[in-house]
Amino acid sequence: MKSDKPDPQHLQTLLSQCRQQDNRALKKLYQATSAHLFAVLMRILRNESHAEDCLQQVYIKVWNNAGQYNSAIAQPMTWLNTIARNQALDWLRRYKNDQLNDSDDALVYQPDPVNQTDRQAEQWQTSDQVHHCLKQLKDAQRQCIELAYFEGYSHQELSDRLQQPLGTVKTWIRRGLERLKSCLNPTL
Amino acid sequence: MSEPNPVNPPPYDLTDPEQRHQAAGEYVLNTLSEREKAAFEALMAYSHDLQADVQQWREHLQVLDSSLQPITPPARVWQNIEQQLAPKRTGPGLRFWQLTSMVSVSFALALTTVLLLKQPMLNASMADHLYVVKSERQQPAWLVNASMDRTHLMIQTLEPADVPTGKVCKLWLKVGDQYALIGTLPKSGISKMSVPKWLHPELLSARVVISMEPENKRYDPNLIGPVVDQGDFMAIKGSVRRF
Repeated sequence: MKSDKPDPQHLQTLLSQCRQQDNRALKKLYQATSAHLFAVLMRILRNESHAEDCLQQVYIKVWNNAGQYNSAIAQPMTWLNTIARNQALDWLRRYKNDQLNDSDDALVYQPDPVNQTDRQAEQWQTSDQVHHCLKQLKDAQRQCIELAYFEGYSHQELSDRLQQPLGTVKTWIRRGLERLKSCLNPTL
Repeated sequence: MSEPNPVNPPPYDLTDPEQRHQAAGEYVLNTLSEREKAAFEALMAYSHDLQADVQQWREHLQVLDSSLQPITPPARVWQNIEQQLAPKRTGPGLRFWQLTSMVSVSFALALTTVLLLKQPMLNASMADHLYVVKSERQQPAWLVNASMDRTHLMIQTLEPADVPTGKVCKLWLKVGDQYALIGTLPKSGISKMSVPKWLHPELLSARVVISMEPENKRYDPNLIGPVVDQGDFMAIKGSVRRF
């Protein structure tokens, strides 16, 4: 499937119409962006049913908060992705707490084995630049950044999961971010 | 796996511009410790540069989102969203009829009579009347939704009006000469406000009044501040809004 990027200008117009409670605009916004946001939610939650629930909540939030979107501050897709990611990470956090409080929880979240992130990375359809920049990262740097970004891992959790000293994990993240930024924005 | 670096880097020094920028990346990544995060957010609260930094990092890290292959969600997701935003009023007996064709005619007639005479279900999470508060520029600023059971109002912020520092917009309901202060219009999001019991039966005929008041002024209906908007509730025709 080709990863068509929604037109930011069009999305801005739709968000501004959503602010006026135009539900046709919300439908168009959904048609233009839901597949992208659903992919993010699926990546974080790895469960279709939970991702569907979250996606529903994301668009309800978008509808209720469209007035807060400021095009001078953020690209529309960044704003939407931030809402989706936060929604999914909140869900994961609540879920982790439930697990701690109730060992009989019917939902069992199984973290992937360490090399799962690499396997998922292979499935990515990337633009040339993205592909290039992600390749610039060392495996460990990329893995840490992905686990933190998509799964909400803290430094300590990364250290536990990857069985590496805390300092090592922190350094991987710092260097990974530096490298990613300089690749995406070489003029800085 | 790369060779480990056993040195634990010190916490970010937020007085150093380079480290501040780096911390912004970790803030977006959500890997700062609670303490670092609190210090970062305290600084960000008044630093526009840092806010811009965070936004820049959001754009950078979005590379991870945009690298994912889109996945079309099932059609039922949109249907659920539509239903949640504007639940359809389907005839309550329709599905019943389809599923129970064996029911006797007399029972059906009795049931139909009951359904026809029954009032619409009152639901505190649904609104069927609305007032649009307008800003100085006559733009919709807040939606005041009257719940179907008349016990409360749901205030939804659209684009809050510009209010001078130290002032807030208060929402009042007026019946005859009597005012009831309902609450302060929120700066963002949705607020639920209770309607005084004596007003429940008269809620829909009450006048919605918005005044501008000093932030910490005590409640006094005889000293209501300048009225910036007022009007009547209108019915949301054909549907209800759910919260």
